[in-house]
Amino acid sequence: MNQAPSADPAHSHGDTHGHAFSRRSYLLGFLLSVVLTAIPFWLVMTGRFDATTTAIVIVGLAFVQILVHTYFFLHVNTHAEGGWTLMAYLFAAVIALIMIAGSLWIMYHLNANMMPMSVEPGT
Amino acid sequence: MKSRGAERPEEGFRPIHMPRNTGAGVILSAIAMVLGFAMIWYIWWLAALSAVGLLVVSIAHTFNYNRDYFIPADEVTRTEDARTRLLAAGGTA
Amino acid sequence: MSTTALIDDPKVNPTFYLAEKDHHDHGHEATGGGTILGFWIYLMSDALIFATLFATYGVLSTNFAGGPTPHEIFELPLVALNTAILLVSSITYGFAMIAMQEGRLGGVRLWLVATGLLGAAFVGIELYEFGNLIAEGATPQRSAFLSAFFTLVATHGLHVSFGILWIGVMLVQLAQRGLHVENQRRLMCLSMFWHFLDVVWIGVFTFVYLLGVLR
Repeated sequence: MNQAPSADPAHSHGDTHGHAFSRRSYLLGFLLSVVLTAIPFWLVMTGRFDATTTAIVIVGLAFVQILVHTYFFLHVNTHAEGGWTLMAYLFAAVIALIMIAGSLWIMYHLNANMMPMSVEPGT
Repeated sequence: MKSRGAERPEEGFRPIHMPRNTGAGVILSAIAMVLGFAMIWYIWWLAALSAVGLLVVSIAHTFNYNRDYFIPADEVTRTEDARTRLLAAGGTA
Repeated sequence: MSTTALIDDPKVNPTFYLAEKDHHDHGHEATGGGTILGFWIYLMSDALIFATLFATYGVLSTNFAGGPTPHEIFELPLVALNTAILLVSSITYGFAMIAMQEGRLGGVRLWLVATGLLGAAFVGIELYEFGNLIAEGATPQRSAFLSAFFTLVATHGLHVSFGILWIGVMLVQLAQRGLHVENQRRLMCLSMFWHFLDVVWIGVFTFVYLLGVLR
């Protein structure tokens, strides 16, 4: 993300001078996000592929875009706050994954196991 | 600390960074309690009022920039020197 | 700067205080203290709130109770517009941070206003969408799917609204104190908050709107 300092001593476009934020980094993140957003919307609105393939692709692209946002906009890397930013982020991600996957798994099984039976047991 | 051989320093004290007192936390907690009570008992006008109150008090508190101060190094030194003299005189006081 | 009267070797004389970095701050780096990390940890807890709302939505997303289904009520062009607005608002806030870094107060205020206006447009469009849904009978009480939908999306919208309020307060405080180091710290926190909301929205438009229409 850091580029070599330019000859002009004043801040120029994209020049970081060791600072965290650079114009170039934000614009790159923005362009990537635009592409990663446009593709899913286009895929769903035109119905180019079948539902399952489309679903997998858009979910995959969503995770990629989340990573793009995390790196380019939120500046999460191994150095921020001595690595603790990344650590907290990964921990929250693990908990969130457990919550979401766990809920879906449990409730799916619950629904399946409590399905009304066509023949009463014991008759 | 003593078991690892630490000794009480007698020199080289630096200013101590201290927060200023503020009632913001207690006041916000009280308003939040009112909000909780109002939500439980469906007292909507009180819930709205206390919710707005939380916002107003929080935002007003952000306008207070005078949040901290430093105890100057010489004051720390004077206080510690007094303790040094006390320890020297009374032993284990 | 350690104590001068005693031996410096930490094995012989262990020190038990944390040396403050204040004297080494450049002045335009608002990273003093633990505020940034502290706010980030709060943001992670906020992420967990959204995780539970996503989990709830995931469980209830097909419980239509004979009522409206996603296909019938979601207008993807409107959602695409809202997504674009929020994404652009992220870049405008990025420009505000660059201006802050370069010490340009006017630039900071300009880009903050731009971000706030885009955020207001986002919330406005979302309220319009909700109004339409409720008018059609697709109320939060109609079905579990709709309850979960409204809770998740409205919680996000409420967060954006608080962000807009925060932008307003920052504009006042910038007018009062300029790029004071405390204001810079607050702008960094708001930056994390605002980008975080865009990350959550990625989840919303993908898992709620796009997958809903695909089903």
